[in-house]
Amino acid sequence: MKTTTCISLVLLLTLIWNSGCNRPASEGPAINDLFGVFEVIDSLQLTNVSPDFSSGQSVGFSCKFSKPVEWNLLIRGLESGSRKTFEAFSSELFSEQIVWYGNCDDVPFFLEETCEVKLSVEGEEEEYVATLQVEGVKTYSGIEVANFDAGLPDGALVWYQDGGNMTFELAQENALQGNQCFKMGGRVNWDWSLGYIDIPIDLSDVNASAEDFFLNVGVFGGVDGEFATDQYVNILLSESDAPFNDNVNNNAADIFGTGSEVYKHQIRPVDWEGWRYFAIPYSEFEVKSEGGNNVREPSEIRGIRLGLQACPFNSGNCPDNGNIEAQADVDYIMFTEELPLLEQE
Amino acid sequence: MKFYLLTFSCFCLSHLGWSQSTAAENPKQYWLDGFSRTWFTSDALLGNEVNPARMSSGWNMLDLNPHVNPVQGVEVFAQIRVLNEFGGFFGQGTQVDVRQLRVSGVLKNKVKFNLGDVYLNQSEFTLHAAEGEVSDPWGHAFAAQRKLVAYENFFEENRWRLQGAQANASFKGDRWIEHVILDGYVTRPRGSRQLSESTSLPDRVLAGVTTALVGQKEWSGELHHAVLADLPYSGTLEHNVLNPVTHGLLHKQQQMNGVRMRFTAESGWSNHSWRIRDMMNGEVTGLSGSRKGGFAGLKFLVAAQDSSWQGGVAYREVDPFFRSAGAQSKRYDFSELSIPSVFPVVGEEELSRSVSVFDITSDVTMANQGISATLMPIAPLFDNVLPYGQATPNRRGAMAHIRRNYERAKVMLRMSRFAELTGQGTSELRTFSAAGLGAEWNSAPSASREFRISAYEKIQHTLRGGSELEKVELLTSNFTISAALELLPQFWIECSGRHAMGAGHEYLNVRSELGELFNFQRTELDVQAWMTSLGIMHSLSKDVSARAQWNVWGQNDANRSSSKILASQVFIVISADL
Repeated sequence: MKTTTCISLVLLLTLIWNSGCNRPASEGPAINDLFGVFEVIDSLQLTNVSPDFSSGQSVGFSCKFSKPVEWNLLIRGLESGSRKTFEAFSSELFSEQIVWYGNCDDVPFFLEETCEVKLSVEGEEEEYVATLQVEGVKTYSGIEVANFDAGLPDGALVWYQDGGNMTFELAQENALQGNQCFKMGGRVNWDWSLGYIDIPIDLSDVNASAEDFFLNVGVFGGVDGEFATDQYVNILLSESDAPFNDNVNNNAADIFGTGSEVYKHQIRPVDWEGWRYFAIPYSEFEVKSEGGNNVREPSEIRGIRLGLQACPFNSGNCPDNGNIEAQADVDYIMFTEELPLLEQE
Repeated sequence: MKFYLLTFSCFCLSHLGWSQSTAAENPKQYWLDGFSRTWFTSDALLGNEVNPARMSSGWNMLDLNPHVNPVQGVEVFAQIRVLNEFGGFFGQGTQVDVRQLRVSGVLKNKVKFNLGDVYLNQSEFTLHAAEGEVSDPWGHAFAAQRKLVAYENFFEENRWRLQGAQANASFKGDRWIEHVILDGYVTRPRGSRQLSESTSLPDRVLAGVTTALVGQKEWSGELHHAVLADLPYSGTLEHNVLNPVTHGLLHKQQQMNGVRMRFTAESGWSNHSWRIRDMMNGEVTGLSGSRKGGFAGLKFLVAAQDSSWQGGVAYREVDPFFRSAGAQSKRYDFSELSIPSVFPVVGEEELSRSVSVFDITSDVTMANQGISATLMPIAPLFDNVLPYGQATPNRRGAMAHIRRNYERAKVMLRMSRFAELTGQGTSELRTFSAAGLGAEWNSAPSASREFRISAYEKIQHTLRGGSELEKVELLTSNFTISAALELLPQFWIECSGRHAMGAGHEYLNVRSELGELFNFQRTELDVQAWMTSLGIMHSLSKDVSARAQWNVWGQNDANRSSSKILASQVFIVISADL
């Protein structure tokens, strides 16, 4: 017994000694740094104060603090009001890592304008400010579906109900990009669907998977904070091989009918003022009607439908909709591969 | 879906009705038991005239357990729950679920097995569910609430409820080994789950094996091994956990002068890492963040032959990077995502309040049923010394306890002192001191009316030196009291109380999703939280009891005056074992 006990104790002590050898002096960031006095060691620096994003230039930002902090870097266009933010928890901003390529968090897009750069640190009152001048705006790449500047896209079909104050047409005011957008609005008391625009598409050259293929679209929500109850944009993508508009007695295109391979996504509700820009991976579209192989294949997309829907007043579920027109204008409809449009570098 | 479940359960019940009618011919083939509970609470904020609030909730619940023996030695068990929430109308609010399903039996009189929902406890360092923050050594305080929380969350002693398969067998030996026991299990704590069309969580598997040897001359030994692992190819995550843990124990028992003694030496190790899956080509490319940690300890337990007293001392050292998901997962979730279900926001500013004594005692949703791959957040007010049970990492120290049993009373004393092995955010080490003292007094067995009173006080002190920023000093006290008096036969008046107090400050660890310590949250504790209960309990029969209680609870945080709360609760529960 004594021998075995001794062996056990020796093994035990050996284990303790062995594990102790690998122990670091401390774990985690130093508390004296984390909770110590905050100081800026190297002030905010920009690698380029007059970037021409149209020619591929970029701006890097650097700054060094005395301790790790939650920081936020905001770039704001003084004319457009566009914003781009970076934020992280660290003690240093490296100009190789914090790089701006002229893109924005959401629309409106940056213009050729002066921008204010503001670096703020959580828990600290002082902010660190710089300015830069955008000499050329970023050019986004992608497959353009519609920007409406030269009218409706070729072959596009527009259909809307016989309701009140129906506006399914091109409009010059409040365009997101360029000088025209497509307005969708009106009041239909008896049906959810107010109208839609169908656009034929040929994406046969696309090789991206559904996860890496994004539909980007700008949506205008309204003004003055008044919105129809449960109004939304209904988006359909069809992979049907049927002719786009063979049946002229149909409301619009034929490829979205029952039995066609159609996928659906809703931007719902539309309850904001001004423009917002959405990027939806094709993989997140749900099956609306089964018809083909039910596999989302970007190269097989033959057409897109953008429709406005809202809760009908006669349903009794939305009494306020008897006094207000639904509205959701759309503009700058693009497909992009690999990244959403606003995240392009 | 519910309709089909209802149809299925009706079919089962009708079939059982038939089978019971045939029970006389084959009495062991089918039988039915279960549990029923009616539960109602009405909560009200007290002393808040700005925002008077009252909320009621409750349900009727019936858990029916059909047991079927399709063949001799095999039992199929299912638990079908019919639950109706108060306020349900024409079937709305009514749920029918299959709550548990298990096949168990014995193969060739050698191997016992369970398949389906199994309850597992392996060892304190491999797979073990410590009772944690609600612990009451006497087990009487707020028994109704604690039973409710435990039943709804499948808490059974120190076992985790898991889904999978378990089997064990024992063999007789000769020469130096008298018995060998083999036990193994394979479970799936988390199934593969689709997050979107292109992303999904992988299957998480927990498997383990135990060997116990009983030798001659009162020697015995145990070897436990458990592995928690994500199966990378069943999901699309880049980081997939891999956490093997081994625990070995060697026991020696002795009897001397009417005293039983047991010496134990134990040690083990763990490795915690993440298998990296390259999302471009789908291949597993290697390990990341690998951390190894060991532990070792010595334990000496001693008890009188007549069990009139018992005691023990232990010394243990657990490495800072010892990680065991099965042993360190907590019964209660103190993360910011875990929000109390009763009055979650308080004050005019509607700030979310911190978890109080009331929540951990009676809130069903605060409990955690899952095995966490990383260390979960803790609540220093309730336990800062061993928040992850005996497997708490980064501890070196000793414990001692003694318990004396008199004819009508019991007294208990526990003491411990630990220190960190590695500083957190500094090279300074915390020291932890804890003491617990309690007593229970019962009526004499011959008394015409029974009574019982118990109390337990637990004090913990945490201290760390260093600079003004690094210093830590925290004192907490948790006092629990419970009493019951039988006024009339099978009619009891009962009361319970718990008071938690914290003074000082501490740094809480902020860990990344991968478990890396990357920040600290300084927490000032000048808080008092309490809960009291007064009620009656009537045992209508051996299997049916009814309780009505009036509870008052509150918390007062001097550093967050807006989160002050005082509330009452009417609590009614009727339980029946079927």
